[in-house]
Amino acid sequence: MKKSIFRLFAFALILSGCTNLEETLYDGIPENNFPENSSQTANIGVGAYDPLKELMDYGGWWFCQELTTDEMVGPTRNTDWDDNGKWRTLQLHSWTNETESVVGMWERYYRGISECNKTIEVQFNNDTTATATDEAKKAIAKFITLRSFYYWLLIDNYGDVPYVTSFMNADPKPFKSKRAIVFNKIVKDLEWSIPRLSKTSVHYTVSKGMAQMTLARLYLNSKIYTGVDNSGKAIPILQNLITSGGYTLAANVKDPFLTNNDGCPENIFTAYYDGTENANGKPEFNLHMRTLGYQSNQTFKMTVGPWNGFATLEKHFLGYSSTDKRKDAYFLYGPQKTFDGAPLLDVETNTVWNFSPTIPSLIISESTGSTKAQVRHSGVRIQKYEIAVGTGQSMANDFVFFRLTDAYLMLAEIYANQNNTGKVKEYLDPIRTRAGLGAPALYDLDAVKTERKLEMFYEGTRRQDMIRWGLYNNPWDCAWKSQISTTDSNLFPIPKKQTDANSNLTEPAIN
Amino acid sequence: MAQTVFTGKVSDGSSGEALPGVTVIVKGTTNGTISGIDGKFTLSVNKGDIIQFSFIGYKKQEIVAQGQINLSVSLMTDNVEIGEVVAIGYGVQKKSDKTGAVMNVASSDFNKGVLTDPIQALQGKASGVQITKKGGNPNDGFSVQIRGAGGLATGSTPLYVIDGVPGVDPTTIPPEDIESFNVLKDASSTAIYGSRGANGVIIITTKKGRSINGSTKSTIDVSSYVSIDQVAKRLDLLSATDIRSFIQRNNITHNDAGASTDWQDEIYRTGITQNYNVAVGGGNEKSNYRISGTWSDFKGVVKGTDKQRFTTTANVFQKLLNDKLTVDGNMAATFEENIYQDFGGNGPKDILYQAFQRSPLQPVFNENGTYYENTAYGFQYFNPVAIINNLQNKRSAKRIRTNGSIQYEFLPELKAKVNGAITRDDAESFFFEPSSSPTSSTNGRGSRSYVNTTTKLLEAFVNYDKVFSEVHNLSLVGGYSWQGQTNDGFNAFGTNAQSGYVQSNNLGALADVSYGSIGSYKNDWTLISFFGRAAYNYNQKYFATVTVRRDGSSKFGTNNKWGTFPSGSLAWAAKNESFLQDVSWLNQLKLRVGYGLTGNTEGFSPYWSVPVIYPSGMQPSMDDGVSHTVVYQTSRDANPNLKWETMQEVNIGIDWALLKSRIQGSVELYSRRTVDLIYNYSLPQPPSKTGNVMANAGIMTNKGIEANISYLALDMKNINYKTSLTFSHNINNVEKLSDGIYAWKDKQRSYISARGMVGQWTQYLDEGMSMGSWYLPHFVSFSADGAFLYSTAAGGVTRDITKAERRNSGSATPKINLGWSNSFTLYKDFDLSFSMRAVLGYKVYNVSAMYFSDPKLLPNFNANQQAIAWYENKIDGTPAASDYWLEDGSFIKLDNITLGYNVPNTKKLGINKLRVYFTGNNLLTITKYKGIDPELSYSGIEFGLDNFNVYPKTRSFTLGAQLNF
Repeated sequence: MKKSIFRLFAFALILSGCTNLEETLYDGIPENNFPENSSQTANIGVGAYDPLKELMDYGGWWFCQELTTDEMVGPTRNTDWDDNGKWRTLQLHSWTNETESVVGMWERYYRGISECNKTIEVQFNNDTTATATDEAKKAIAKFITLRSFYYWLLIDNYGDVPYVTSFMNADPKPFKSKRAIVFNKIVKDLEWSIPRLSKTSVHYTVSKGMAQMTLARLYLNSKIYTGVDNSGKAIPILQNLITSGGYTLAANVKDPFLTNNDGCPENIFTAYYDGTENANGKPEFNLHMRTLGYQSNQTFKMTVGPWNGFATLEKHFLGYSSTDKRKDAYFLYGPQKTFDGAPLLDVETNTVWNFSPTIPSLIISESTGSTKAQVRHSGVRIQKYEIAVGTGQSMANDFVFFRLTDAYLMLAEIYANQNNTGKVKEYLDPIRTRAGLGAPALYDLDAVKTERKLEMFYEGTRRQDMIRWGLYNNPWDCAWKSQISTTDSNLFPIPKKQTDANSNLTEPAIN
Repeated sequence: MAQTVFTGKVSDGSSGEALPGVTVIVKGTTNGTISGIDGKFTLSVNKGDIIQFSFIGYKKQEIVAQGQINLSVSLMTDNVEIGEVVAIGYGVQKKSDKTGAVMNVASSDFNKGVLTDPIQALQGKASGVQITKKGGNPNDGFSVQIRGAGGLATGSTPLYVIDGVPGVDPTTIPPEDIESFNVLKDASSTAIYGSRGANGVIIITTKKGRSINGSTKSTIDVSSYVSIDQVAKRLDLLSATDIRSFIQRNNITHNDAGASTDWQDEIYRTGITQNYNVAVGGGNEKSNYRISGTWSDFKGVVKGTDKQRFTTTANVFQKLLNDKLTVDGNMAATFEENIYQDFGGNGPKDILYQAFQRSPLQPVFNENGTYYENTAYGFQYFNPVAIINNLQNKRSAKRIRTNGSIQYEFLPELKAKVNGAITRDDAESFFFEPSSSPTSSTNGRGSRSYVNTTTKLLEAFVNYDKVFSEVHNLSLVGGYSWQGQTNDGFNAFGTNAQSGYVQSNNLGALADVSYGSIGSYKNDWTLISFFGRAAYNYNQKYFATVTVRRDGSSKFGTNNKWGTFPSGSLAWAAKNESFLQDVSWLNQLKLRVGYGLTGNTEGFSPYWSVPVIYPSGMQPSMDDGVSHTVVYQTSRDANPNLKWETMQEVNIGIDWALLKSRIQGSVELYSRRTVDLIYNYSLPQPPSKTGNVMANAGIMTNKGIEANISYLALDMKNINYKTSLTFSHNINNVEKLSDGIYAWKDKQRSYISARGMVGQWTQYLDEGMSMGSWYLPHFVSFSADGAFLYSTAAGGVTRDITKAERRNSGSATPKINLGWSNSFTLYKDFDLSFSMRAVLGYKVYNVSAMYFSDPKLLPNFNANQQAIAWYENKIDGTPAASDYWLEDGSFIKLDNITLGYNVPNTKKLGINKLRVYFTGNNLLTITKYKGIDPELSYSGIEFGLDNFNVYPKTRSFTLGAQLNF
């Protein structure tokens, strides 16, 4: 009797599948079941845009393009913003492969590239041949363009990088490709894509204009990327964009940067924000918090007090003449007022908040002789992006990557290099007029460079421009940058955790 | 032969009390009876028959029947301790038969006084078991670590088995209901729990209506205490007077708000703890029960922190069908209410930091009764009293556990048992921050959330225990176990709170709701095992145990779900050998050696081995820019090769007893190696999309020695003194963190949370170092003009800390743990006991000292005495992370001291026993550490920072009473 009981027992066990260890998924979709419906299919590539939203904060791109230049600085005020030197190191060009901003960029770019590759392969079967439908090719073109955008940022910042175009068959430990090789590949990709793209009113998605701007920037900086100057090739692209792109210059200098700037006719490519990011734990657009003073919330009726950090350098600020409309549109300077017009009193120093242009040193400290007011108030702050009433920690303004004014200035620069003064005037005047300025003394390269510096301030182009113009390694006119940096600092090192994970990245670039 | 009637009464030889249930049998026959409640028995015997009296725990007696009537038989207790049988996995074992590193702690040895969690009863009592808690928050649990940190993701929490149900939360049992803890420390003893035994197993046996070896007791137990709790040590900061005289002395202009507030006083209070426990049990050997109810209320010493807990337990035991069928059921239900405050760092709602930094010159209230705020005064500067009173953060939790088992005895040596259990945990949380609170940047916030867990267990196993030829003792167990857990939860929040009255009771009053405001989740895992154990001993001299367990976990990849965990151990009871039999001063000498493999599947969520896509956000559609679409994302790379983390351990132990067993103890030496450590490793990017994956790589080792000694120093008529000491020393080493494919990425750990110190890390987790290794610039001296000087890699000094060389500066993992317990009984009625505990050889980083020593904080904010000294001596105290702020955290604590009195002559009131006692907890801490308290919680991979997050420890004075009817 015992034996049969045991046999029955074991049989029952096996029968009832009591060795079943299959995982059941409840709150996520197994990859094989995705996409489930046409709506998911249509939006499958949306994840490829997400990394762009992080570039203004921990993604590090904006910090690396602006705080490394002569137009923005993150000084240490007593202990505030010391953060183990991670802001000062950008200004002094002394970063390492473990500096936070340097590390942050790489991951975002490659995450975007992975998503693009995946979308192209999985959704569209990577079919760019003649047999694919036009619709399919148009759809693939969008992601090839977005991928090229990320690769452009990679070669701009890191130089030689791995070029990966497959998600399914990716080499687990790729080697680097040469900067010039990647340049050629993405130029080719963009040239294939541009005829298949069109204008869109949704500025935070890929459009023909965005592809053209990316290609134009590549050509403009081609001397840096490849050693050969092919900036002239950008001319027909930019001209096509300006004449038949469907974009028009905004009437006012502030229009592209208003809170509701998604409808601005000048904006070509933006990163989308809606202001709920802080409440939802999503990547925020919070540059305004980093620059405005502790009590500037009273100036704008914000719901939260800013962090009193970044400022523009005195020399840069003094470059705006008193008639330049951009001076008041972009900057917050001098004695500050509350929203109702009363003087804004600093409760800690008992003096009025005064954003004075002079920044005494990179570390402004009472231990080294500055007054408390100097520590807290030094430096002109930035309000280029409109700060509407009720703004919280994350702004709802979309960040502008490309706008039409940039195309004008690029053309002006290329023509100035060809000494075509007439053309320079054609493209420079609209910008200057809008800014309330008259004609410059000369329509030469210096005039273009100056105008680009003043107009494109805060938009993430300064580093690229300074490198192209040979200014990046010079000392610049302030208390802390009296030494040159070597050309080694023109590129950021590949982050240590990437080289730790893939030692092939330390090998020289292959083809 | 003439039949005579043999009658009498059996009683206990020492106490004289009647012994019911004693077997009275004619030797060699089945003619027998059992003594009644009054100890009396009646038996028909033949003259000359040998009558045998036997009862577990007592020496057998034999009497020749000679026609005795009204015979008094006294049975003497067996010299082995009651409670000699201990629970091991799926069975019981005599203490003297153990072959592994196992330690039993009975309720009489538990820590006394205020116990915020039952595991606190075991603190310092078992060598190798490190039970610590950072701070004194009643809502925080204890960290329990056996033999060092076991893993990275998998953590170090041991497996708790309560009444045969593994994986149960130990806080669901009140300490008064615990009979004993049996700690299984080494792999050979935890192997029977293979899959989850890598961090050790703590078997908790609750009190039943019967004792573990089968005898019965009838009881009503009432136990209660009330205690007054005070802050043991505050943070040493300045007072309003100190700051005013500083201002005057140094001729500083400052806008004095005119008040004198001690902010720590404002947020601390005297806490009161109450605890009441009633338990009723009774029955007999065949049928018994125990029911208990416990209510505790812990009011923390920081205002706004509270824990209330009501637990009820019941167990029933019934033998049927001629005693062959045993039915055993347990139920426990816990209801808990918690009220929380934040104090994790330097955020707006972290009330410890807000109280520390706030200027004592500012009042708590304005003249009109509203809270004095001055949010522009400083960065994230908020009134902590307002936060405590305005914000609501509470939780209501229920835990219900039921388990039942049926055991059938086919033969006296063969038993089969089926055991099933269901546990259900529900927790509901409530949070509300009114729009008027300046801490909110979203105009207020309200949220409600639910977290539910259901665990099911089904086990079936067979025990075979037989003695062959009186010398061969064999014990076999074989069985199957299935356990599954389902977790699900829900949360909803909104911002822009427009009604302060309804708070989060009606989320409809929150005006801003966007995508992400509602969320829910559900996941589950399954664990299946086949296990078997064979234990053999020859005449109690030579012991061998072999265990094999085959486990499968659903969390691992398809090819790696199953793992096999064998172990074996041998022991030699040398004392029982002939050449040691006559050594009278040596009562026990046993040598043991064991080896085992255990696995780990805890500490990380399921679904890492399969690619999963989750909703991750919402965006206007790419097509028209208007309609909303949910965006999906893969959050991590899947790893289909994810497999068991395995620990290999060798353990050598010696058990000894001397001088009539008055001195006894054990020593254990062990070496453990955990391979295939599970954690989040980085993948090269490109081509990985997310850059991280849950994988196995990495190796960690722990080697050490444990010892415990207990000494019955005095055993006289009027005075009795027993003392015991536990000692452990463990060396932890992270041997490898990569395996060629996966590499560890996050070496920089333990970031400081303080103003101006964003991104400032203090520890390094790297190969060749122990967990919790400090890695900081080295402070050399002060320069002539008061700057900190650090050493550089080149051997010089620099004042620029970013150029200083970081080096290994010690560890937050302690080297030595000691526990010392003493108990005295005096004149039969008084008892005195005290326990001390020491944790030695580790360093704590005192962020509070670093931050508040900055002279620039004065006169606006609060600071410490050193800030004033540094101001006047012109030292640049700008906070910077260096080893200057590492302090020795070693401490010796007097955990508790109790004086109890057994009130005599209570029997006439119907009370069996009445004991009143007075206990002081945490009366004394000897340490060089200058912060609030040096004790740390050892969980996770980061510990050791005192970052405004040490809730003050409490000093408690307790008055309690225990009654037994």
